[in-house]
Amino acid sequence: MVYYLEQLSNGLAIGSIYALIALGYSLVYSILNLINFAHGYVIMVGAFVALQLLALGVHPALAVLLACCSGALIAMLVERIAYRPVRHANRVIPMISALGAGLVLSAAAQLIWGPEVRSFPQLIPRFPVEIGGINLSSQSLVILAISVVLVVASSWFLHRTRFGLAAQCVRQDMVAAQLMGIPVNTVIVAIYALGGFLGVAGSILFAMYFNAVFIQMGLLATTKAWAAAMLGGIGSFQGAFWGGILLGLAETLAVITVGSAYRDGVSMAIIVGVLLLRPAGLFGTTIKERS
Amino acid sequence: MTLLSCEGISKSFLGVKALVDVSISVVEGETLGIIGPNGSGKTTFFNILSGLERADAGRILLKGRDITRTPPHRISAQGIVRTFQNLRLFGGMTALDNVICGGHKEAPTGFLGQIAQTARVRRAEAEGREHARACLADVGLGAYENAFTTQLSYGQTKRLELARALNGRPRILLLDEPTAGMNDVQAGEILELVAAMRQRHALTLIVIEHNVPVLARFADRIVVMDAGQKLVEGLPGDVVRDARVIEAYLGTGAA
Amino acid sequence: MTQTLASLAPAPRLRGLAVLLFVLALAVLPLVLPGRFWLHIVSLTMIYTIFVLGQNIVTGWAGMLTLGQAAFVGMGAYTSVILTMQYGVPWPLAALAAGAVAGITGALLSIPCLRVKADFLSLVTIAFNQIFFVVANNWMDLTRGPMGIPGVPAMGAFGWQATTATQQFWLILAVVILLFVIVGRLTRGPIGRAWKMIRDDEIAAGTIGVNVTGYKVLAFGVGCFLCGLGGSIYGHYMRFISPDMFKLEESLLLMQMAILGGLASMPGTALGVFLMIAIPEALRSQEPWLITARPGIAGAMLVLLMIFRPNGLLGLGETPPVLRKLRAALPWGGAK
Ligand SMILES: Nc1ncnc2c1ncn2[C@@H]1O[C@H](COP(=O)(O)OP(=O)(O)OP(=O)(O)O)[C@@H](O)[C@H]1O
Ligand SMILES: [Mg+2]
Repeated sequence: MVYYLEQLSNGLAIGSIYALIALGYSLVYSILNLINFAHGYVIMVGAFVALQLLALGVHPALAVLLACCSGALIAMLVERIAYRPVRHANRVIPMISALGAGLVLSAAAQLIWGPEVRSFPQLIPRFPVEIGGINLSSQSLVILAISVVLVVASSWFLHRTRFGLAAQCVRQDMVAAQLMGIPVNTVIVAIYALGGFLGVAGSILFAMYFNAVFIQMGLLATTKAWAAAMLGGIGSFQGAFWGGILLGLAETLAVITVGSAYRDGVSMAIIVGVLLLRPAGLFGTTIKERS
Repeated sequence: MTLLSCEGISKSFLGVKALVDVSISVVEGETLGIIGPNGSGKTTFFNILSGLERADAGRILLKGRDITRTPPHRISAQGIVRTFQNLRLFGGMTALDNVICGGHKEAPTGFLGQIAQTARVRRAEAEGREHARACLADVGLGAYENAFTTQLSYGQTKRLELARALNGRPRILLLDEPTAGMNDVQAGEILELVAAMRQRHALTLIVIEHNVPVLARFADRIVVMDAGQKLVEGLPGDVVRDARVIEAYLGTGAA
Repeated sequence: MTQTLASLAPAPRLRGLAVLLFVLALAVLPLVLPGRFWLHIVSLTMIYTIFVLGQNIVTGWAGMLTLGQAAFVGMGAYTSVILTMQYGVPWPLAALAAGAVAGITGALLSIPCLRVKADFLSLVTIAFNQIFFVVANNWMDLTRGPMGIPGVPAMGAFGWQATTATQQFWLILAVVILLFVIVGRLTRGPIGRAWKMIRDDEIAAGTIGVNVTGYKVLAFGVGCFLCGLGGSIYGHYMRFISPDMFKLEESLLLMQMAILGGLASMPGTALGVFLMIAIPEALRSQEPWLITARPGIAGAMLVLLMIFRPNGLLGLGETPPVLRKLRAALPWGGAK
């Protein structure tokens, strides 16, 4: 029993990381109906940037902050170069363009940092914390706390500020929003930036948790983030958070029952299951394309 | 003899009541005009008829058979074909290919037959192409077979969509604002063309139109929609003079 | 007013002649090529054409993004290799079975996505590829895991085996020609048109009478069948298979080739493979960085293409003005 509770805290931590990454995908999808494949690569680059800055001796907190900002910056560049010119084209086209941009990032990262798996410094000390007789990992608790703070802050930003209101308008009807004088382009760029920022925060935590940074981590995180986003309902903030948590728990459960090789199968099972049973996710509603 | 009857159709989108208990029926060979202000639910009615949206309540009978929950392609197979207010042409194809596509239901789609290119398949393909050519010529686009939709003028794309619908061999043709964005002369031409097709193919027509005088000459009967409800139904002459219609819709300009 | 680069080609009859000449030139290649190395590169290119044709049916004709075709290639390869090696099934049968297993799995997998929104197909296929890799790596009894399966028998039938490089080359060429003819017939007729309708406008396609979900599943099934069949040829040509050959990165390459060459275009399919397999492989020893940089270079080209020529180099669409001028200057004046 105690063992399971300890695993539970790991599940919560990894789940909250998925949630952070999922938000970037989910936000862009809810506004633009685009699976922004570049996101996974952007956050991978962000994790490498953090690693690089740390290696250069930058103070950890500053390094992480700068890396998150670099993620926002790259996401904005991707939007400007690869996405905006094709915004109104047939729907697979922006997806392909985003993926193309992602592959460029991936090749660049491979040229700069090489294809090997690098280890990531443990910025958050890992020691057992005893709460009520159960040993939890300090790292898991801190990760969970950081994620919750970030999710709550962005939720406030998107629901309680003027910018958030504008974003909701763009999401409901881009053309009408434009006509009403909402700076649609600015809103979209900001959404990309926010997604990039949160995503890199997620990928750095991911790197710390698994003690690894590697080129393929972005694409690996993609399916997991989507499983989380879809489970919670695409576009929904709390949804992405709870979806991530549920996925983290489900994966941890899979690892202790069938073995760690099949951890990655959970997210696919969830995606297919959600599509089959509840396309709107557990907490969301879908908006159909108008005919 | 009623061909199509819709009984008590209601539909709302996230609280917006697009249709409220609307009943409309058409008789074989008749032309029904639908008018109504913007947002009164006309297009939504077409979407439900053609199976793109599911009604919240009510049912649709085609020759007495319930088609309320039938998917779009089956409805199309039963002879209900439509055009779209905002044009839905296939951008990656030439004009002729667009029209050929309209005849999809008639084409043999057996997988092995296609691979073997049996004599029957080849004959059907050639016939389909000829039929499509004829339809394209009927709407006056015979010279534009190889043009892509982006190379056509707005009026021409409207005609192209009409040709595509005609090649679907409709029994009931639903036209959603076929003359939108045209001046009176062009609108008259299009409706004349539609009238000729109606004659030739013995079509039953439901036409959504904003141009009331033109429609009044063309339709056998007119339904006026307002805020999702059927306001008035009657002969064109009566409808145009109806006080409620004038108030709700014609108001200032027309009449 | 016809199709892009294709419009530079001579009129249909001449075009048929050109294709015939091209095929003949390919067929005599083994007799003139200086060594095994070059023959290998052309054979490999032809095999990849099969995979990319499968990808192109899904992405080019039916307009759905799939990012896991390498898993279906792998599925076909493993099916065929295991059937021939452990059960003594003759290769042609095993190859068909490989196609069928991949095709049916693909179709089943696609049903939940396609009912909702084809966008999610791309996610599910990524996940599927990752899972395929994990399973192939871990199911030691069946696949021998990361060690792979060596000693795969050569292709052949009725007691004959294609053991020399030349024989293999001709066999692959014959299969590729057969598949191109079949896909050509499928895509020019009502089935291919239905796919294109769905790609261009799903809603209009439905009201015209196209069973949208049905045709999407069909497209994915056929695409995966081709990949599975190609996978069988790949495995028996390389005489060795291992999970590494069917990784997600490989899928992304297939996707890039299909788009680069030309969506919904058969010559485009060949061109894409030529650019991304033949050239880097040929230069592998002189310019090894090309292989590493390949996804990035192609990625940048994808972005540019999506902005300026969304259907790929040979894809269909309007003729850009430059090409129109060029065509007018050609002696045969281009196709009608
Ligand atoms: N898919 C949808 N989602 C949400 N609201 C919708 C949808 N389709 C229609 N509506 C709403 O339903 C109402 C009726 O719309 P509809 O398009 O049927 O009107 P209409 O009579 O065709 O108008 P118009 O003359 O402008 O074409 C409108 O308020 C519209 O905003
Ligand atoms: Mg309308």
